[in-house]
Amino acid sequence: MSLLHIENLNVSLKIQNNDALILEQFSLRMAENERLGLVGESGSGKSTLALAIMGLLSNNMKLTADYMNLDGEDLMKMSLEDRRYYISTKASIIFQDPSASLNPCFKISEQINEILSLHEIRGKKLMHQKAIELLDAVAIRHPENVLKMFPYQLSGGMNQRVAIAISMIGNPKLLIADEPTTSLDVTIQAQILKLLFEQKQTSQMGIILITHDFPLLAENTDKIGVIYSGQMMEHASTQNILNHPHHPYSKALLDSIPQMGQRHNKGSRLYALSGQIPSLENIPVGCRLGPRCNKAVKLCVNPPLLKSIENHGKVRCHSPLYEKKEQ
Amino acid sequence: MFRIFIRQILNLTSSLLLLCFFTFVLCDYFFPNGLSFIVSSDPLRISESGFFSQSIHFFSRFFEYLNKLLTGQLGLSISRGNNISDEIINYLPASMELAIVTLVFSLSFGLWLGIIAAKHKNKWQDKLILSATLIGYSLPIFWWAMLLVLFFSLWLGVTPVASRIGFEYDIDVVTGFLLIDSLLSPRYALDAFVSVIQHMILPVIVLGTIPLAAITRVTRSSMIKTLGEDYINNAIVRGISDFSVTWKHALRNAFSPILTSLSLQISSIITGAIITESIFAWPGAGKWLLEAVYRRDFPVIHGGLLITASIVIFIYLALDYISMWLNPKLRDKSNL
Amino acid sequence: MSTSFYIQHQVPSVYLKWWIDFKKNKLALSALVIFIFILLVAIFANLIAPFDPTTQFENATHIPPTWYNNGDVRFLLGTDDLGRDLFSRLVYGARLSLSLASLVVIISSIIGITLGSLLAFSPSWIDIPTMRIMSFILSLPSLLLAIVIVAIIGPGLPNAIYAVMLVLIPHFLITTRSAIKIELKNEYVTAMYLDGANKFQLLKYSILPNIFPSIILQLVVAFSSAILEIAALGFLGLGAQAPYPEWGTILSESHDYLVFAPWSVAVPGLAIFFTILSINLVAEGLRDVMNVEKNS
Repeated sequence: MSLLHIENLNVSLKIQNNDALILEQFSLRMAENERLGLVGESGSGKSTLALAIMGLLSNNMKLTADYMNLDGEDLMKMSLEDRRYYISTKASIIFQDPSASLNPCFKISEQINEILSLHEIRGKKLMHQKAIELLDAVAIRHPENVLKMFPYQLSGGMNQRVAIAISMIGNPKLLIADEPTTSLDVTIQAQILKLLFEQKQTSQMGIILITHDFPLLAENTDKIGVIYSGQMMEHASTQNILNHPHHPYSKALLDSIPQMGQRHNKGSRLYALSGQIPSLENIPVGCRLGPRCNKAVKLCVNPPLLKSIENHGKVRCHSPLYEKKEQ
Repeated sequence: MFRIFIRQILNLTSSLLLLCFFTFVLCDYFFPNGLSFIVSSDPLRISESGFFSQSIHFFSRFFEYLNKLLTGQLGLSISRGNNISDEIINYLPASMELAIVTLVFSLSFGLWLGIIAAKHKNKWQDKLILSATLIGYSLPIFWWAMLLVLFFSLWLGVTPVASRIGFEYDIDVVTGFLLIDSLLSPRYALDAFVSVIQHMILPVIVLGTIPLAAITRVTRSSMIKTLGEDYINNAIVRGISDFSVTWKHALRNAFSPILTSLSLQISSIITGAIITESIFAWPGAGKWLLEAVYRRDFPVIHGGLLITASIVIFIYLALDYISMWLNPKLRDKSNL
Repeated sequence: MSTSFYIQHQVPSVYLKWWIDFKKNKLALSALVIFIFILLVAIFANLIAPFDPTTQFENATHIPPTWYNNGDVRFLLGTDDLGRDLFSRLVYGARLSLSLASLVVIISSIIGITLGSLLAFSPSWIDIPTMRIMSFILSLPSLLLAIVIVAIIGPGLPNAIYAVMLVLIPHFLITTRSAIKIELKNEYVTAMYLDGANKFQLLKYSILPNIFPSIILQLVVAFSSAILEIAALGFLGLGAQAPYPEWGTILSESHDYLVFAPWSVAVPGLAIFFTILSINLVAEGLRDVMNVEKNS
């Protein structure tokens, strides 16, 4: 059974009486215990997807979907309160900016205790003990001291550890990490990622890692979804995407990664996709990548569909890259 | 905390000294005659003998003046000959009562409306509240007061036109706050209390309209900003109830701009009190001050200005403490 | 990009962009139209008003507006207790209020902005005490200050204007000074300084264009508060005196006849209300367009 199954998710934002689609016909299937990476440029709708799954869209956005199945129950069929409660027991999210993900007005201990009490852990001693266990698990060295502090007294990395610790309360089945390391120092990034996947190992949960950093996904994920301008462009296993990217956009993303040492060809220039991601007001007709794609042909003014390709995965393109060679 | 306290005391003293110096220079320059009414208990004798004249050095005059103020005396009224400190004690509670009720009214409704608007951003509720606040913000309060009197008192006859309480009630002054005093005097049971409230409704609405509009707007914009923060999203996702997210997690973080606006509204309430009291014949300090202006009773104006400004200074201090209490980061910063 | 057949954007100038965005806000636009209308009425008051505002028709006192049964066609909005035409008084009152408020705002803004710029560039031993005094004055209720000033120099229209002017100056001073201080921290200002610009050049080329929005906004806000404050002083009998057709004074005259001539209260108040409302709406629109934070 799949952990998360989304079919035909549309999220639209009202801009001056026009509905602009931030996410269009978005479908996603994720197995239990899977590590899924979602990659895309800023403004591609990655974070909106995370918010949509967690039920956090602001009220000027509209969400429609055939169904959104989270651990066996369809979120679309639930009332608002039921849905909130259900999500709180099944899923958790970690945000990009660690200093903004903890409430600046309350001590760490107060914030942990509040969530603990929601999960039926009561009693001062028990709470304290549990809180220290939680902080221990995310490798915080002096948990007693940290508990007494306010978020602003901790560094970004520490804040993110605390945020991860709080997310783990209640053992969620799904953890969404929305660029969890982007605003951290490089050395801290590796630590936090390691920590995140350690947590996954111990508590058997599925994890969605959202990032714009392809190399990060290469090592850490089972499957990768490539998102562009609100659409899933390619969804396949990590190995397949890294070795044979079928979508021109995936290839462009891979080509734009700097190669170090031996793999670097002397004198070669780093590849850069021309142009920029279209704004919501002027989304191009047909394939959304059209204006930027160097393989674009006349056919591309018709919107392509997400098609399955044998031995690979799903691709949204009229002329996928490796297909012709195989024929 | 101790260092903050010391610093606040220093701040307070310097503000008060500055204020006294300011009022002294005003008096000294414009009304040297009036000054002798403030400084002496027997003004006529002094101004005749020229004891407090320009021949004495400026600073020794200033210290004489300060000395007098420190004993809690503000001199005598020129037109009535009364002791000004006693007059203030007579008139101030009425104004304070009006101001406090107005503050409670505008703050509670302002927070409530602001939060409703923020939660329904860009929906009809929000638009309705926003346009209502714009209208409230633009009302000249003297006109607004007359319209309300015309409608509710003269046409509908539901509220009284003027004064603090019906003339048939004779309440002993205990605290000066009629809301409390009327309950303390057993003679009229609840009737007197009801009468006090009836008399209070219109002045409070008139005085509270602008602060209410301002607080609603600030609450709305600050709450919209805070409700979009990640920690609020986190709180929602982790299953904390809607009420607790709004009133505990979000409002506390959104509160510091509201406090800033509140401190500005204190001035607006005092300004408005002068006008409101004169329209509703409310026997408070504002009306008393305005009458002194008509009579050009300078020692009274001086006393009124001094007291009002000191009250404002103390309120600012209190607001400082509240914002420090609400925001741990600020608490720490001022420790450095 | 020469071969691209996709649409190219043309970027309008800053002021044009403000105007384009402002026009989209229908409410602010209509408020602007109303305000311009009131302004035109004020300018052409002598052409619009049928009578002189001080002419008394002795046998026509307290006549209600034309649409009442006992109204008079000559007096559109009726007459007051001395038989003066209310409509003419209001029209001339618009001229008086708006011109006085403009005068007040222009003078106090010139003084306030100049002092504020000087203060921003002066050493801290001048800056800090001055700011402390200014914020202290700002914390005092404005009308109370104006009343005290009027009490010192005596009631009357010119004195009321001086008072409102004095009250408004600290607002301009503080706005300008803090806007410049914020601006000075920006790196393009540092860059210009390193390029050898002197303080005046810094102010002219790099700071003033950037603080322009907050000054404009402050001007608009000050204009509405000047109108209100002059009217309030007039209403309290400390500003414009009896024969003047000032809006606040008209209101205070009609206060006594609230019971049997309610229109004479309703109409002048409406005039003040609509003027202030339209200015506030325009300010609101400008604030959105120019991205100025409130209470910066």
